[in-house]
Amino acid sequence: MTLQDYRIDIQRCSRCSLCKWLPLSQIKSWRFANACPSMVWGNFHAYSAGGRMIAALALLDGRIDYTDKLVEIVYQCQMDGACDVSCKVNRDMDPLEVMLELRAKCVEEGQVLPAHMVMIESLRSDDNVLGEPKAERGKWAEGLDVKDITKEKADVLYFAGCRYSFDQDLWKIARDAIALLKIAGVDVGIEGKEEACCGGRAFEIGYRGEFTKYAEHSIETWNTADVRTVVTPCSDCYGAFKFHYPRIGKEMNFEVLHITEYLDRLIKEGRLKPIKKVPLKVTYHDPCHLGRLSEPYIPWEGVEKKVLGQVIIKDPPREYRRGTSGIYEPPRDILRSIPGIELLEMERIKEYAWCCGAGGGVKEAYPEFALWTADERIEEAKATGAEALVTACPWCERSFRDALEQNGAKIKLYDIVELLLEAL
Amino acid sequence: MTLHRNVYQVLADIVGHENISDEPVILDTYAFQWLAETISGTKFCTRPEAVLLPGSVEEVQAIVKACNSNGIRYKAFSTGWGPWNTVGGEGVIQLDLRRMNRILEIDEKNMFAVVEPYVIGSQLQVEAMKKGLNCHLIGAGANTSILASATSMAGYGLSGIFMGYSNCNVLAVEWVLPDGEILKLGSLGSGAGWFGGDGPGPSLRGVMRGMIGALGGIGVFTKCGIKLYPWYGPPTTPMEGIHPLDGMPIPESYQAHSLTFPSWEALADAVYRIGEAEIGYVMGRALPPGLIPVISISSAADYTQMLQMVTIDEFKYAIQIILGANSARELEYQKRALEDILKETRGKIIPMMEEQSVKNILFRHLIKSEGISRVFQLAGTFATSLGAGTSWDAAVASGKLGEQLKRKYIERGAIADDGGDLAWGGAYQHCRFGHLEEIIMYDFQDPDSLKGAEEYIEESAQAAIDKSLGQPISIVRGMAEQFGPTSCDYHIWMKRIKKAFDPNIAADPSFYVEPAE
Amino acid sequence: MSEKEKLVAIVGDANVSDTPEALEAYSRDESFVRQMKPQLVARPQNVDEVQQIVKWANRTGTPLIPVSSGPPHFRGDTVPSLGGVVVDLSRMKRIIRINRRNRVAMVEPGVAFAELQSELKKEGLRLPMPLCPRSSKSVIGSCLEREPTTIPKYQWDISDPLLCTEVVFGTGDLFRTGEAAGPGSLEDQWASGQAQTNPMGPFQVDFFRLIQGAQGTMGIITWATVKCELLPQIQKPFLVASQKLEDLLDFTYRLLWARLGDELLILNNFNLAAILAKDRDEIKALRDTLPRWVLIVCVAGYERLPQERVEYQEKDVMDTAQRFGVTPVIAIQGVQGSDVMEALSTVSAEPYWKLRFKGGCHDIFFLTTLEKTPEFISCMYQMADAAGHPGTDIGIYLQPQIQGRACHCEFNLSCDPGSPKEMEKVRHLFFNASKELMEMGGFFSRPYGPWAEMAYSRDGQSAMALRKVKGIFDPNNVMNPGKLCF
Repeated sequence: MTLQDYRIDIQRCSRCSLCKWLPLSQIKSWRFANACPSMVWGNFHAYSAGGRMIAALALLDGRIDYTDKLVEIVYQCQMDGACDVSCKVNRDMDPLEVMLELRAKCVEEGQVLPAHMVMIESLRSDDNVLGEPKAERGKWAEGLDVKDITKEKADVLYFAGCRYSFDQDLWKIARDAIALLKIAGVDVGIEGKEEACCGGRAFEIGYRGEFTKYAEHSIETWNTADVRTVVTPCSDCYGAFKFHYPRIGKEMNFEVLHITEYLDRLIKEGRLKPIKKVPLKVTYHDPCHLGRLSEPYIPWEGVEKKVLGQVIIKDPPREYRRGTSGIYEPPRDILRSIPGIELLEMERIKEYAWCCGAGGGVKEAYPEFALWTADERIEEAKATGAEALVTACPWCERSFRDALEQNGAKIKLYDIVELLLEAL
Repeated sequence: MTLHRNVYQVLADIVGHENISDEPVILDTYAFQWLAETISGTKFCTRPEAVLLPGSVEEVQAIVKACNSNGIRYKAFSTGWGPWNTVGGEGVIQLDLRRMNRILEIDEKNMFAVVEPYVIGSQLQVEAMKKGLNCHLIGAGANTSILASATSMAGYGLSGIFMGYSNCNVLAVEWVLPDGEILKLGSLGSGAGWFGGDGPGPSLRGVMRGMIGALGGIGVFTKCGIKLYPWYGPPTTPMEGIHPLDGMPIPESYQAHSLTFPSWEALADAVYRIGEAEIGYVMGRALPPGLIPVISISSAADYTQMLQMVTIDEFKYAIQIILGANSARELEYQKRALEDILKETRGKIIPMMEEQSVKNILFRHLIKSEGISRVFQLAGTFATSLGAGTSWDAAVASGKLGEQLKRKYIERGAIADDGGDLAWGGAYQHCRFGHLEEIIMYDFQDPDSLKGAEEYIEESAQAAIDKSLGQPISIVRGMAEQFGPTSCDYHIWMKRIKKAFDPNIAADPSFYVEPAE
Repeated sequence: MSEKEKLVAIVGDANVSDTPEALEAYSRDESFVRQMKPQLVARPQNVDEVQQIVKWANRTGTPLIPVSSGPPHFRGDTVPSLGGVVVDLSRMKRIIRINRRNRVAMVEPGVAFAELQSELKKEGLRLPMPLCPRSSKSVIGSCLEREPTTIPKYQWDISDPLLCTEVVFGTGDLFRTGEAAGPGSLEDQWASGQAQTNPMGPFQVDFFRLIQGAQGTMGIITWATVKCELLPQIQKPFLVASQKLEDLLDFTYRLLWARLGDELLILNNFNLAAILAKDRDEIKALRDTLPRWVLIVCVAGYERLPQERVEYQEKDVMDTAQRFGVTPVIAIQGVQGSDVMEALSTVSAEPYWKLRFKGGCHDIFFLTTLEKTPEFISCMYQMADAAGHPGTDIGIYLQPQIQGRACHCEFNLSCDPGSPKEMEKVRHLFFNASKELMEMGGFFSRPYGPWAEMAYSRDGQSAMALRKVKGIFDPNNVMNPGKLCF
């Protein structure tokens, strides 16, 4: 669907501002009631999902033209989808889809950010969005006894993603994950330097062509290689596989699992036995792309029709993504399986989680905003009384590390993989 | 009219450049509103000249003074939902008060809070519940500003049986008058705290607002004391189930039921008796027959099928009630009283609504005031009619009238066929007064539907006059002039008040009145 | 035609007085407000006459002093500041309507509490009252003064129990406030089921709030509806005694939170004795036997399951008391709770209870919050001590208001009007203590007589705003000029 296709829906926005807040019955305190980082940072209504829908309508109607401010409004958003969950409590609307289409329109019409162009250039030249040489993509795995799936078959393809591939601070986590799989006896392989970006970030920042190219590449490569299971430790990539890949309509003959899903399965099958005590009070941050943004895309084609005079229904009936089918329990079950760990929940969890700040091209284009968003989450984590903040995504990890480094907050930071390994 | 750059600079110096904008994209997001089409024919009303985000009363005051000095007008809002928040014409700046968002105090003993404009109902409620207290939430939803409801808008909510009406819940207020002077209403002005909003002498609360607030026409309210009420449940209230059909587990000190009666008359009797028995924590027609389906649907597609199920007689004259009590004994008393009332009025508890998961959803809807925006979902938008604050009997008469008036619009297909009875409302302060507003759902993007809705609103307003049923709740421009002549010419007095308090007509009068000549 | 003759033409010869006795009677009250005789006293009988009087006053620039209650008056608000005509509304005595279903009564200003209560009783209703009002006290007068009533749980808004009004503004215009404004006549409204129960509005102004608390400076009310309550079928009063006020406060707060009990107030030993005893000696004797503080809480059952209601409330009160370490009892030192309730449920026997001790009484009262009352009381005692006024003779009345959000704190200084020396002492104490208590944060929301200047000098913005209001509703300042900030 194009932006124009959403025009009727957009007009139905009532400006209730529910997109700014957690669903009301989920609000637990004054302090952590907000759902939308962009709105809190930008303050003008335009920075909310509702505001962006209005901006889109104004643009479609020719009431406004592109300006730097409009472009900023469009891109100063992590596209974390919290607004979408809140809106859908009572409405049949898709604010996140509208925002994605608005970005695509901007890119189509040349309204792009320099920081995003750098990402895309890097993608075009080196198959990653981080400006790193492609040749160095597999370095994170050097010395690991792991199959190269481009050369030999393996039951499981471990897809590291751009962030784990190039962010040296995080290599340990990517490697720990491999270690865990091997302990469990999993036949695992990697693509090494042949691995390419999933394309998810390109989709989020509006570059549909690039996205399609990488999505097609991944699907075709893995279908051809008869890959049965793809396991990724990167929630961003996971979200792309689940939420965005189905949009291009290519059949995916493989199962995609996030590392936490897979490890949870291995623990439950008895193949991993966390027995060592890890005495730690932790709180768990749900990465958006593992949570509400990992809910599979639900294609729908149909029309609106009226019944009961003016009641508008979709024909055929349309199912809406509401964030409830994200991956929420596996990471928690892993934490619960580790002796000594006490899991203290934050107020905004699961489909209502506050973003880490890194998504949607914000970290690259608006680093200050990204840091502030992460700070907010760290404050929420600290409020639980936890000693450590645990997450399951390298982008979240990076964002929190940068924020902790900058503000000196005293809370430990772990990926769930690290804690599990420690417990074995 | 475009704001003169010098004036823009003056305003920017007050709030800082990051807190003012006249970018068209920003302005359009303030011009867009629900029901805007009834004002402008499009989804956009007039653009403000600029939008400002003041962060303190001092900034608000400086802005208001600058407006007075420079011949421009201002319109402030808090959460800003509804066309009355838009500017009334050219030459008006918009103040979005969202940066003023603190709960300044919760006085547990004296049961009140002090809040700034952008504290929403849910925020205050959860903080109050931690201290065994609760706040009145309006039917529009807990996403609305507590302060705006208390000072500037209306204030109906179904907790009103136990927690009154927003007008009656406001205590002291910090108020930037239209000319920029700061009035500290009531006890605050005498340096005595926030516990009272009246005096010394006559209460200027009377100028601040009436049954409806001045909708921006009489200055800006920057803080207010607000009454809190007992909460008998636990300090935190986690939800259970899968959203959006998740429910709020009902604490032992509460019960939730849907009741039905054989006739409007029986329903009216029962509500009077409930009020007299002083039972009920939340009570009213939260889910009139046409809305009952929303309790268990997640999208409009499910509505049709559900509606067919609920138009059966047992849902016809329904109300919902939550009993809440300080002790098990009191709850037992309330249950017995309700049973007696049901016997006397031939009412009954609707069995279908007794299923625990349904009751939990109902409890969430009623305690958290979260469900009403469903009325946007079904046909694209809604409007409301009748609904004066009056005796419960007259409110019921409004409900009956609304149903009757809607019939021909339903028959011609102009508005959604909700069965006719979408009279929403309740009885407040243990049934000292009540209201039932008749809701219509329609498709504003369909010219015939929009036209039908507008005709219905007009017809119902005239019917309210003809049948002496009080002034309707639907707010449109020029309403004072329409109803004033039918009601002691109150508009003339309002005009005089406007003139006395706002000599430069700096506060946007578009949803209030133009001053006297 | 003289001005008197013009008034006679409006209300009739028998209803205009200028005899020295009549003028003298209205020239002073029990307060310290300066005496001044009116020129005339007019007694209208209906709204038309009131309206004509107000129009006449505007034409002639004559001050009008509306008076609803009979003597004795205590606050100075009915004493002319600038001469003029007293508009005595005591002839307007109709109880226009009692509507049981909506628990509302419509009365004229001359209706006193006892008269209304007896009629209400026939319908199974009652009106919450101030603490033992004098028999001549007008219901409307009390409502307009925002006097506290003894049942805080029914006071949703400090304006309660006042609802809708018909008012002749100072301009001479007739208006109806609240839902009574329209559309439709009263009869039309009654036919549609309305009962003038909603005081708010019409529309975007709460006109009634501008008349209430105005001491007759905005206009004259010619009828009002008042919020009545069900008559209890069973009442069970409890007394909770303490030598220390602080020990009662948390318990009181909890009762307010739980909405337990109807009547809920705290009296010191002097005031409890004063409302129960017949004369000075009895008061003294009783005062000296009573504990220093008594909380009165009365649980009640109405028409629905009255016994069950009383039972659960009693048990809940007892549980709460246990939690807070206090002991509700049905009698203290020979004083039965039922006697106290009888006193609270009726108007004061003659002489008025405040005058029984010494023949005169000056009240200092203000609003605060309950937990702050001990500080004010301590200050009052210190000041009385310094002024040589015996602390034991000070009556104290604490009345939670607005369902517990505020507390009316009242000191009653008895004095002998026949003793100039004592009067002078009390005058000094009254002025100095008022000032000090105001400084401490007492909110003198009903600023009678000398308090007006003190109160408005602390809150100049309110004074300025009120003058704008006054300019609208009484532009010629004919309504009780010299009062408040006008």
